[in-house]
Amino acid sequence: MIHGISEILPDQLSRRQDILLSIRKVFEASHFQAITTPTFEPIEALSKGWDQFLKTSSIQFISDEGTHMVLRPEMTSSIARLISSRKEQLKLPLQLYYMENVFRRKHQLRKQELFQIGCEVIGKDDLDIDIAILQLLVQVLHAVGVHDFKIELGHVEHIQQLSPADQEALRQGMIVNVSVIPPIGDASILPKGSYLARLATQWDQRFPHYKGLLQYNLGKVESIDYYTGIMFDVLIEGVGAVVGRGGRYNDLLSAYGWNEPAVGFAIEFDQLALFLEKENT
Amino acid sequence: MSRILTIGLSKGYLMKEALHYFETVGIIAEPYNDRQLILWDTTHQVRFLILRPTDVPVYVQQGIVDLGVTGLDMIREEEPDVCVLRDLKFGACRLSVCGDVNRPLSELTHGVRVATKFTNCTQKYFESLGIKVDIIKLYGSVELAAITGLSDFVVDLVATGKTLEENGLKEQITLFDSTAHLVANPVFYSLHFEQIKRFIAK
Repeated sequence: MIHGISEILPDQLSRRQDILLSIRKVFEASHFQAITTPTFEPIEALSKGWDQFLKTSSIQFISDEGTHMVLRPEMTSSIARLISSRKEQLKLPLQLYYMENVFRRKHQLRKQELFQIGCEVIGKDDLDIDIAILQLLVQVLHAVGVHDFKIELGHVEHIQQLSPADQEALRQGMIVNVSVIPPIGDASILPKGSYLARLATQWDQRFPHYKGLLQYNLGKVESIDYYTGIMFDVLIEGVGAVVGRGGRYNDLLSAYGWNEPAVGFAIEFDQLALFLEKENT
Repeated sequence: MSRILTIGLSKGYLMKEALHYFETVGIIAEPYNDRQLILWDTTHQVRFLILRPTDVPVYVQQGIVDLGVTGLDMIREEEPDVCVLRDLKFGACRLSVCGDVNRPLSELTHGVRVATKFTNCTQKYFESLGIKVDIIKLYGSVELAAITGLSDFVVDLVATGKTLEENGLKEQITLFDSTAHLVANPVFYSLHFEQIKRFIAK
């Protein structure tokens, strides 16, 4: 038996495809186009924008021709590599979505094969588009029947104010070693004039019916460190792991030769499907 | 708040001290007997699950329990995705390389066999030294491996050193010191930060 892969039988698959279809409708109604990328490719090309986490958690092998290959460990860098190499054929801004499997090295309870649903907006960098991405995430969750959730937001500008030791401790979850614990809460914890404070004001004005859906964490860090602006997680009460995450990564595409900003999110479909199956029984 | 808080505790001698810690933050367990797997606090707002020490990190990571008490040794070994909130400062021990009293440390070099329950910590430690060792995974009475010749050295937890001494073994190098720590599921940490604060207050 191989650890960390999923086998899905027809009944379960049919339920999952219903969920995927309703998500696809949301993306397409917002004028996002589907994209796919090669499952594996030479690591030299794909890993240009990677941090240590992606390098050490990806599954690598040597091809028949002796090329060092890697199975894509996530879609964002894979898409960045693909579109940057074909930039002459593409028109900005690009609004892309995907539903694909990605692969990670075996680590304790984590799966080796994950199914991720996500989207990217490339070529736009302002508050409006960051809010639009969050709104899209809310619409996707509502469309599949998830209503009791929070989106927790952080921003790199708050993390950068912490000492390197505190940043590292937060990244490792070692709250015990953090000198001053950064607060988590509603918009009242946000420093005046900060990007998140402006985002919070706009959000509440535009979506009064989504009140209380966002929360803020001034110590938010992500295991993947290519984020340059907002970062966020989807939290559902009673689900032990984060169901989705995303953020802004304005420097990632330039690692692949296209100097364009980007923002996006990915949903861990296995976590989401598991939650929905439990809810509906 | 009506949501019940669930806390995973390690069965055994650490349990009493863990319950004592929770008393200091106002959570008082009802009387219990040794066969009980679930205990409640006097207000019935908090439920304790009594788990095997090695299982606590899994329960916390999966969110089956909100909080757990586990040793730093288990956290370093299992590397679970959890938030480590507080050093509870009891259950002190060390993870150490031990060997026969007559065996010089100079023999700890490439190709030696090391028996341990802590394969991840052991592997990382010897890798950091650049020494290639053969690790033998055991589940109990690790000292016997060194005595019987199954391995050349062992890596195991040492509290007083008495067991080692009685078996003709010596503690050679300490990998790290360990004590009981309070850990939280990361999603619970974010969603219930206000409730978490009282556990991390210094």
